[in-house]
Amino acid sequence: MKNVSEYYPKKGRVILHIDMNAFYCSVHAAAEPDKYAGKPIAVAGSVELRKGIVVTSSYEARARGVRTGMTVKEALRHCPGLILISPDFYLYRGFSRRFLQIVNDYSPLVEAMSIDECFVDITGSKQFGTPLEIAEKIQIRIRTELGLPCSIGIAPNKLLAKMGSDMKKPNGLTVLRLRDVPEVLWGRPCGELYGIGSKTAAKLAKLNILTIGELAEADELLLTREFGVLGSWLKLAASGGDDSPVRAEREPNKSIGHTTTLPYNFTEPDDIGRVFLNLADQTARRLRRQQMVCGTVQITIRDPDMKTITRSYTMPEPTENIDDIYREARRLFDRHWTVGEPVRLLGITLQNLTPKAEAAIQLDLFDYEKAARKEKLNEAMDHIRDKFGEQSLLTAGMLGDDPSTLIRNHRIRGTSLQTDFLGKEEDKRDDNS
Amino acid sequence: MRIHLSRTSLAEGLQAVVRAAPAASSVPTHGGLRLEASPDGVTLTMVGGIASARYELPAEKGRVEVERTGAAVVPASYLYELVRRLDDGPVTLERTNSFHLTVASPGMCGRLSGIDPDLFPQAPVPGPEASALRLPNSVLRRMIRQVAFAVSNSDSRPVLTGVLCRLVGHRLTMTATDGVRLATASCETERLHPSADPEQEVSAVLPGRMLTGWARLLTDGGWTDIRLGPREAAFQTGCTSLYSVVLTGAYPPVDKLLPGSLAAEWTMAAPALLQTVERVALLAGKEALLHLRSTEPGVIELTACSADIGELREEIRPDSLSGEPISVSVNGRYLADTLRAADGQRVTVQITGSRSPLVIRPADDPGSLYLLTPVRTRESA
Repeated sequence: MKNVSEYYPKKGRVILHIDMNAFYCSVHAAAEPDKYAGKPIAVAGSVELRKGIVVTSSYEARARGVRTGMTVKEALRHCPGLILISPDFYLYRGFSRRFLQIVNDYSPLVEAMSIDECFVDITGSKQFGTPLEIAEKIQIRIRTELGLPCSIGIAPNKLLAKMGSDMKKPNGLTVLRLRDVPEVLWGRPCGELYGIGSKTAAKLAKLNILTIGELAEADELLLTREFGVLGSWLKLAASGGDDSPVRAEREPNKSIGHTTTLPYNFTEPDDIGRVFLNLADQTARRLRRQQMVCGTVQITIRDPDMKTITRSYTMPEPTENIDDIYREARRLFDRHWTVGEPVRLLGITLQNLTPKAEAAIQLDLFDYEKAARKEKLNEAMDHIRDKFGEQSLLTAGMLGDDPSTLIRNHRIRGTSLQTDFLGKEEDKRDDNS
Repeated sequence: MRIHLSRTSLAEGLQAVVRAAPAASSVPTHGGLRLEASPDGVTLTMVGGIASARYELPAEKGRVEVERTGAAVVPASYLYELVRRLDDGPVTLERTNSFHLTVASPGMCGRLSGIDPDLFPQAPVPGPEASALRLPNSVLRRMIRQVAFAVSNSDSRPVLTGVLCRLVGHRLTMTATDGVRLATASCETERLHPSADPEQEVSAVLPGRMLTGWARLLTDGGWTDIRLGPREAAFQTGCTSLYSVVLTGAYPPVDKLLPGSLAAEWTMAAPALLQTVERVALLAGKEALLHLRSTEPGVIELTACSADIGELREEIRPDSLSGEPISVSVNGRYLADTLRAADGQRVTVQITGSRSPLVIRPADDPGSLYLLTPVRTRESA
């Protein structure tokens, strides 16, 4: 039996970068192989409108010239048999969770970068075999258990692991050692280095640094003069160096917020109340779409001199209801703002979010029956508004002609409600049930 | 003012008022103790934000002797802590021309700075219209312990920081709730002033902390006379009296809270259940989340788990179990508090649904009843 330890570095780390190949399309093919496997398919936003844009496409479609970012019309010209699918983020999230679970079986140090890629630090995973064996196992399990292809980069740091997984797609398995860097990377243009965007690449080109190799050998002083602290990082990265850790903890709780600039300086409590009601309504809507509950309500107030304050309150129990959010927002405002002082901008941000399914909410003795009815009412109202639009159902207090009423109008004002991936997930659930 | 007292009598009186009066407040007079000497004896008074305590030391040769009448106000804690530490023997208290109080005992002489007795606030004393009742100290103490734990600590609903005391006929019912749990207990009392209509219903919300303080003072013997007025209430036993404001604001209607339909009913030994709950709740962490489940016939399963501590599962076989299999999550600390307060040998737990309150009835005390609202969790959904 071979000594597994010999395959691990004595000092450094072993990092894998796992990149799901054409994730959305692969998921559709895995979920409904009869319909989609082996066929040219593309996921496009708003298929119905015919103005949609290809979000991603299968390798079969790519072979016929379909590219991400093309309009649906253009894609159909290249590939007349292209099957178009509207995105199903609920499905993607499910597969994403399962692929991360598989990775998690080999090390707890998993950092999910997005829905379809992650880093994993397997320095301490010798019990599962050599790094290459672990990568193979993960790849095979993802293929057999989920039916999805992925490419894996194996390297001593995140940068090279990411570069490695990019080398061969689909189903690649690439080891990228530090000593391979000059041969593999140095001949490539700077823009291909993970972390260098088009702007930085253009700036480098002006300095006559065109390849990664030239960047690695560039004068650090020159780079720091041009790019500041980023300069040193650029040079280090070009030589394959990167010591950023794999951060296993999940990203901090996100928040849901809306602010609105008022058409003139508001002073009347009634006007301010209406703005808060509309803000509470739309933030609560997004909260429920994401199937979350919030523990903290924060308000933002800006005066005509652009001085901005935020004040927040953490409630005894989390909520998803507009009335709780509105009440706390008003209470915060009344406590922290002098009546009659002019207000330029108002905002509500919901923080401390937890998935509703996981949240433990202490029910209230005087209110538990009402709370159950309120939940049903929320569901019914959300359903109506999902179907017939935000304006289809309002409480009278929300009516007015200031911009806070416009935050509902998504055609005029592209709010995040439209692009909430998780929100679409909810839509989908409703359709299924 | 110049008085001579035995150290034990003085210490007893000081202890009673200091214990019964509420915690320190930012108002300077609240920490103050008023001594008033009259030919009849000495009266100690403390006035606090929610309750005021009074202790009478009747004149008695060798124990309480008034040489010169008058009044003084000094910080209660210093006088109490000083007298507590003295050896037994005579203590002489004298107010000099200023507001200072000289404290002297054999071999010791001290002086405490005081304030003008005229600035001392009045205790809220109930008027003549108050209803009066009497009950044994042992009964009153038990009743307060059965309900007072359930008062709210939050000022968001001030009236819930109090205990609702209702007198209907001769029956006194105490109810406390913080909006999550509710405790109620009742007993027969003796109504004083029989001239007043005994059928007249009286109710007052008394500060929970005042009642807890009173219960702490009581020994098993003796009686407490209670006077409930519309704005003030008074408790008196032996030499000690306690005066309190009656909390204003409408107490929420509690009669309608008892859930109607019953899904399951379990009866079991109370001490064993409490022990199990305490054990399981130990590993429930900060959120104290406890899951109760009746699964296989005749068995209740209690589980708790927290990511950072661990998990525990325990089974109970109740004496009787009826109804449907059900799962409900509660705050384990609240459940333990409730069972501790229920104070009986057997307890009946009635489940009305995973999202409506548990009803807990001590089997041997039909006058008391507890409600505990569940926590909505994935497990109980």
